[in-house]
Parts: sequence; structure tokens; C-alpha cells
Amino acid sequence: MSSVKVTLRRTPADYKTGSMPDWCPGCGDFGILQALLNAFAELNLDPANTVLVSGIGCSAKIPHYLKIVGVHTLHGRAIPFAMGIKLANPTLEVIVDGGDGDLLAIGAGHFVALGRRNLDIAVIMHDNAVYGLTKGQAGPTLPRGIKVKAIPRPNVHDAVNPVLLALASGYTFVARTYSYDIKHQVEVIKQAIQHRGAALVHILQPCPTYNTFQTREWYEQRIYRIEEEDPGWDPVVRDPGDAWDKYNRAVNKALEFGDRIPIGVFYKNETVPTFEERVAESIPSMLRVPPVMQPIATKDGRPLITIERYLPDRIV
Amino acid sequence: MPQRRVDLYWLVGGPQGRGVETAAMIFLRSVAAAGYYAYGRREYWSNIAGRHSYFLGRISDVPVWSVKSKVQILMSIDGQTVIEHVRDVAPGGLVIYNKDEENRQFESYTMFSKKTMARLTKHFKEEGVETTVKGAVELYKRNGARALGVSYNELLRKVGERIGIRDLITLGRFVSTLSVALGAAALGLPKEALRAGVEFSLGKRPNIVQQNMEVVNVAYEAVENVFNLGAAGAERGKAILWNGNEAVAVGKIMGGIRFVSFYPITPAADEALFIESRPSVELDPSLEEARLVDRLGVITIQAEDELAAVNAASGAAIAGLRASTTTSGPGFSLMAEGISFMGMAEVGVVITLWMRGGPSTGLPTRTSQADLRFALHTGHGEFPRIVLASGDVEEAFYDAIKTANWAERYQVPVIHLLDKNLASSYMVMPLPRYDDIRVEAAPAEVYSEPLLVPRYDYPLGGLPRRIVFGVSNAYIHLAGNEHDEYGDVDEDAELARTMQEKRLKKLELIDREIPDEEKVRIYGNQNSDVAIVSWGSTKRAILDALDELGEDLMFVQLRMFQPFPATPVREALRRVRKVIFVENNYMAQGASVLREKTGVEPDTVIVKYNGRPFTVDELAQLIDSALRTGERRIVAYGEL
Ligand SMILES: Cc1ncc(C[n+]2csc(CCOP(=O)(O)OP(=O)(O)O)c2C)c(N)n1
Ligand code: SF4
Ligand SMILES: [Mg+2]
Repeated sequence: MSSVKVTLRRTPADYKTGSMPDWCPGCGDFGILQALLNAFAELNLDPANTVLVSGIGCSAKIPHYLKIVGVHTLHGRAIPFAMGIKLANPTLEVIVDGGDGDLLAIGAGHFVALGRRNLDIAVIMHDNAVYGLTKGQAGPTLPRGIKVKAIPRPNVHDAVNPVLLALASGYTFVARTYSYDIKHQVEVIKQAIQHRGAALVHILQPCPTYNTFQTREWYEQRIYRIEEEDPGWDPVVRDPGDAWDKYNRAVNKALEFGDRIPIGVFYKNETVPTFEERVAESIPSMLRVPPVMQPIATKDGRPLITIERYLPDRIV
Repeated sequence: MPQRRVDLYWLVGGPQGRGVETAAMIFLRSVAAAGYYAYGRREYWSNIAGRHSYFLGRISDVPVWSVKSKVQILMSIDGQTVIEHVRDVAPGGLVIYNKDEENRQFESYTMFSKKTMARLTKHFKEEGVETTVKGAVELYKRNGARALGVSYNELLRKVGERIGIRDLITLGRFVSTLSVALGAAALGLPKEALRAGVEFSLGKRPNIVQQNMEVVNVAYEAVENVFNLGAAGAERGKAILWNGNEAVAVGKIMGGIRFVSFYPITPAADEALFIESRPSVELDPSLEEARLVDRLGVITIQAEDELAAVNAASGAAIAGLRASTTTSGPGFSLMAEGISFMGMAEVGVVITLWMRGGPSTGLPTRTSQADLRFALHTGHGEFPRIVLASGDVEEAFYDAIKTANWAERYQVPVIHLLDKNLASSYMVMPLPRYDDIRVEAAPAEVYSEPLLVPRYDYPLGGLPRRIVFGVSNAYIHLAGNEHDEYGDVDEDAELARTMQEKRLKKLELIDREIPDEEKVRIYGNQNSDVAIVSWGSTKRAILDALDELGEDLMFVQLRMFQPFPATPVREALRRVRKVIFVENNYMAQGASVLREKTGVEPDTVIVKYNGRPFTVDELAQLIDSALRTGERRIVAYGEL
């Protein structure tokens, strides 16, 4: 007998909690929040099986405004938390949100490690090139020599290129978008969530309060859509043989960041095994029955295994 | 308890990377095959090849858990071992050495510690013997030990003739088997017992076993039976051969831990690697649970650092899986912030802390108990935690299961304190009693329709709801910021106060629910007016030292430091006239906690902080000295 499952289509409003964001007026994070709401609704994500993990920063407050499972963790550490969650139950949709400081300064090691693992989660990077929540210090993506509002002298560090770093680290979906372009963001975020593997969505996010250099006007003079300029642009690797060529083109495109800033999907490759699949090679049951659903003891509270069974070679 | 007929101490040493561990494993397994219980503690440098490494052990017909600083038999792979342990063989004991190295000078051993060499040179000069292996042999004899020199090359050539290998360098790989086979022959262990040892350490490939058994034959022909051990008389019954790292690993798996994260560090990594080497094991097919999944799987993740390790474990636990991370001092330092998060967000994770010598990189492969205070206070802010210290490998096994239960029930970080002494002590011990084991899975809440659930709406004195992601049908929020019942950030003053009270009140619940005997254990004469107080891996040396002394004293073993069992400890020490506190650190940290929590001021502290555990005879002597002199602070120097 077959049962008919009725699924109501959710609207963006269905994912809203009662909490009002406490961002500054005009903050780019509002655009990202709206894009997430729309993307979730368009994908009709099940709120109880969708987990958003964030670090610390203005950006990282976002789970509190979303009616899904939200885990607001530590500065820089959202990715490791997300890894534990995803492995404990690989059927969950896991998304990480964080700032440029969170993901590329204090959490840079985890950002790189995620690419090496190709864990099937999406990372949404709110890049305002400053540390918003600690009042405007230079972030890791702020160019050298630039003085923004709250820093006492021009920045002495060079900027890291998030798209390039993601490509170098092994992310299999790498895209850039812009926080005031809801439509474009929704498109890209949806793809990132649906992508099988580690995905980066680099979002250019103006911070009107502290980033007095990379303002809305600054971005809008520079941003262009890759596929509008190059209608033949196809970032998708369909066959492992194409990977090298597509990767090279993505890297070249990623190097472009200055007077002109490309947005769109740089690279997408689903021919690489995910981390869950790699781990499951030695624990095949975890993809069939998520570890959180597996019993850990018998009904009367006995271990499932004896030492004799687990370690027969050590019994003397 | 059965009468102890056999009680023999042994040592096998050689250059790291040249088969010391293999030799010791062959020996331990062979002794087990002969029906004995055995113990062997591994001492080694933070080095891959060349530095002096050894196992110090004991054999008996009853379970054994400690060692003395004088052995009856010393087996050596190289001459440096003979030199380094010149004071470590008891009168009447036996040293077996390689005659081919007899004339080697100290300096010819290029990885000799400069300091050790200088001290030994002084000693040898004072004794008027040459600074060679021969000089050492002379000193053994002076001290009443016997020395048996055999040419390893000659014996290996003889082996070579029988197995058809002429090249001496190739034959050199049999030297580890040879060293312990010579010892086994002198002990009079049944020759066939060695087969089990060889198969255990080198595998069962017939040709390997046959070659090594030829080494055994040659050794048995070369050495006469001195100790007449034979096979153990009484039936020992099933036992297990493992070390502390492995016992904890097995305890975790039996206790339902299904996620272990780590960043490689001595002496913790072997625990995780042991689990990783057996990622999935077939369940007993007759179990009802085996119908859902027929194999038990444990996810082991080598993280990019300890920040990732601790927080990934946290993530797995947040999702509802029993999770643990394992580390030592330097890694634990990096975990501090993650542990504080667990306190705030109410996440239960077992953090296994294998203490080693600090500060900083310190003595990476040596033992210490210097992280007690750190374990009690790791992480900023005030939050509930459990800190439990196991006293021996058997306790460590059971505690790995209990800590897994507690982490899940109370949703607090549980720090399981162990040390290198337990990590790399191997033993043949009785199989654990399964009847004593309970895996208390805390039920998850499940909602019929998706619900925004206030996970933190529990009353004062209660516990947060247990939500399992993908099972509970709930969407919850968790935060490391102060939060309301829903886990959403809020800094309201009254909320901040009540939430802090709720979290910290959990400590009282934990203290009420966990029985006293888990927190403190009392041995010996409860009416004694002298009490030895200690914690952690000093336990067995203390118990054996008290036996040795023949004094019927009380021994109070502190196990739980948070929550601290102040009432039962105060009660146990109420009528005591003299308290002697023993521990492996400089600052007497355990003694200071005792003072802080109970007002009891130890009369004497016996401390040791050179990276080596206490030996039984050393401790017996120092306790005796404390009883006689009433000194307030006694420092132990034992070097083994
Ligand atoms: C370990 C640690 N160090 C420092 C801080 C203080 N801190 C809070 S947010 C933040 C920077 C936030 O910058 P970013 O990640 O770019 O997020 P944004 O606020 O710009 O969205 C810092 C340094 C912290 N919370 N934890
Ligand atoms: S400081 Fe900047 S990033 Fe933070 S809320 Fe204000 S505008 Fe947004
Ligand atoms: Mg920022």
C-alpha cells in the first residue's frame, strides 16, 4: 500500500522567528537573511532537519532569526561544530554562517581543512572586510593601505582572497555573490545547499557603519556577473577529465578582484567523494542508518559488544 | 585471594625503534600463555629511533599492577641498557647481555643522554671500573647480581644456519626475540609459551613463526634454567592483555561512544588510533539490536587541531551522539574555550585527558599528575563539569563507560583524568565483570509535529531537554551567549542570574545522584590513625607499598574532584591523626584541593615530578620515613 504524503510549501515567513535582528540600519546582513529565508522556502527545507551553525560576529547572530535548528557557537569554530553534527547525522542539511574574521582569521585552519575533507555542507561567508561586532577593526579581506573608519592607521596586512583560498583548499563548489542582490544570492545559496560536497558562498557584504571604503557604491561600480560577460561560462565539472581545465579557469577568474569584481559560480565539481562517503568506507552503516539513530546499548542497558567479540586477539 | 607463589620483576631495554616494544610484547604474551598475570610499564623518549627505551614489569600468579625499582631479571637488546640500569638489578638477580658489546665505551652509544652519561661516568669512576659495558657487568656482580654474557652474533649465526640466512644484518632483526627468549629460558618458562608471544607480536605467518621459534630454540640451548618458573600452577582463567589507552578505548565503545575526535599527541593518540583501527565490528547476530544495524561503528576523526577536535565532539554531542575527544596537556590547553562553551550551551562530552610532564611540551612521553588544577578550572567563566580521576587500568575501563553515561545525562563536560603511567602500562588482567556494566541511554524527546522547543526551560535543579537532531522533530537554538529558554541571546539581568543558577545547580544534582563510592574509595584499616591520601595512578603502588610495610593503614583514594565529595572525605579523615598525601607533581595540587574542600591540612606531602611514577619500594620507604620523621614535604627521586 502506498501512502500519500502531503507537504505544504513553506513560504519565507514560515522560517522567521519572532526575534528582530539587532544589526545597524542598512547592514548587508539583512540582505543575506532575506536571501536565506527565500532560499529555504524555495527548497522547502524541513526546519527540524536543517541546521545552521554560526561562529561569533554580527553575521553569526543569524540563526536566532531563523526557525530552523540553530547552533551559535564560538568565534572561528563553526566549521568543526558543523562537522560533528553532519557526521552524527549525515541526513541533515548543514549550513555554516560566519564573518570574514570568523572564517578566515581565527578560523582559517578549519576553513582550509573543510576543503580538504569535502564534507557536504555549505559555508556562507559574510565578508564585510571588518570585524563588525568588535567595532570595526581590519578584517582579513581588507586591502593593505586602506584606512576604514575605526582603525587608527591604514591597514598593514594584505587581503586574503576567499574564493582563491577555497579553490586551493579543495572546495568543490565556489561562488561569490552580493548581499544587496537578493535574487542572485538566492540562486547561488540554493545551488550551494544542493551541492554534494563542501561549498563556499562568498558574499560581499557592505558594513555601512565601519567599512567606509568598500561601500555599496564601491561594490556596485565594480561587480559584474561572470556569465553576462562570458555567455559560454560553464563552471561545472561533469567528468573528472574536465576538472583540471575548469579548475584553472576558476582560479584565473578568482584572481580578478579590484576594479572589476566577478560574481557567480566559479567552480562546481561533484565527482569528488564527500567526507561522509570517505568515512563510511570503513563504517558502511552510517549512511544507511544515521549514527544518532543507531542503538548504543541493549534494552536492558547492556553494552552491545563484549571484549571477547571486540578484541578476540587480546584474550589470553 | 590466592596465595602468591611467584612474584618476579623484569626489565627489557634497548634502543627505541629496534624492537623493544616487540620484545616486551612477546615476553608479556608468553608469560600470559604460561598462565601468569603480568604487568609492564613502557618508558621511552620523545624520539623515533635510537634513544634508550625500556619496559619495567612484574610477573605473578595473582593480578599485578605495580613495579619495584629492583628487578630479578634484566634482558638487554644493547649494551647501553646494561650501562643505564646498572643499579636496577636486585641482589641475586640476573643480567643477560651481549658479550659482543662488552668493550664498548659509553661514548660509542651516540644517543646516550649527556646528563645520564655524565652521572654514570662519575659513578663508574668512583667505583673504580672502566666506563664500558664490561665495567657495568663488574658493578652488577659487586652488587650481588649474576651476569650472563652471550655473543648475540654467535647465536644469531646459529639461527641463520638453521633457517638459511647468512647475512648478519638480516639476522639482526631477530635480536628482539632473542633478548626475551634468553630471559624466558633463564626464567624457565615453557618453551612453547613463546610461540604465543611470537604469534601475537609478529603475526601468524608460518615462516615468520618458524624462524622466530628457531631463535627461541637457540636461546634455550644457550641459557640454563635459573629461576625454574615453569607453567603457573593454578588455573588462571580468561584474562585480557591490554594497556590503559586500549582499556579506555574499549570502555568508550562499550559505553556507547560513537564519535571520537583527536589531534595526534602522546600519550593520547594511541587510544584514538586503536578505535580507528577497528572502525566497525560485527554485532552478535542474536541481539535484537543487530537487526537494525549488524555492525557497531565508531567514527574516529583526526582533526586539524585540538580546537577542531573538541568542538567537533561538541557538535556530534549536540546532534545527540555520544561523543568524546582525547588529548594531553598541550591539546587540552587549546580545548579550554570549547569546554567553556559546553558548560554554557549544556553539551555533554567526555574529554579524556592523559596527563604528561609539563609545562609546555615538557616531557612528552613521561608521566605526571600536574594538570589536576587545570582540569578543575579549564575554560573561562563558571560552569558545571565533572572531573574524575581513575586509579588504575581496570578503573579506567569502567570509568570510560560511566563518564559516557554522565556526559549524556547531565549535559556537562566530563573530564576523565588519566596519565601516561596508565596509558602505556600493559597488563594481563582478569576480564571485567560484565554484570557491573550499565549503559544508561538518556531518552530523547520526540515531538509529533515540528516544534520550536525551549530546550532550556527546565526548572532549577533539573536538566535540559535531550534533543536528537533528525529524531526529535524539534527545532531548537543553542548558544554560547547567555540565552533564554529557547536558546536565543538575551542579556536581561534576571535571566542572566537565573540561567547561571540553573546551570550551576546541576552540580548539586550530580553530587546527589552519583554514589559516594564512585567519588572516593577507602582501603585498609578505617580506624587507623594514619591515612594515606592520593588520587590517580599512584593507587596500586600505594596499596602495594602498604602491604610491603605491613602497616595496617587507611588509604583514601580521591576519584571525583568536581563535584568534590567533601562530606565522605571529611568523615573518613575525622579521627585520623596524620594525613600523608602522595602525588606525581611539585605543587601537591591534590593536597591543596583537599585543604580547600575539607579544611583538612595534610601533615606530609610526598611528591615526585621527574616524569617517572612511584615504584612500590620507593614509596614504602618514603611513607615509612614520613611516619617516623614527620617531615612536611618529601621529594621522591626514583629514576625508573
Ligand atoms: C576567541 C575570541 N576572540 C575574540 C573575540 C571577539 N570577537 C567577537 S566578534 C569578532 C570579530 C567578528 O568579525 P567577523 O567574524 O568578520 O564578523 P562580523 O562581526 O564582521 O560579521 C571578535 C574578534 C571572541 N568572541 N572570541
Ligand atoms: S557593525 Fe557593520 S556588520 Fe555589524 S551590524 Fe553594523 S553594519 Fe552590520
Ligand atoms: Mg566581518
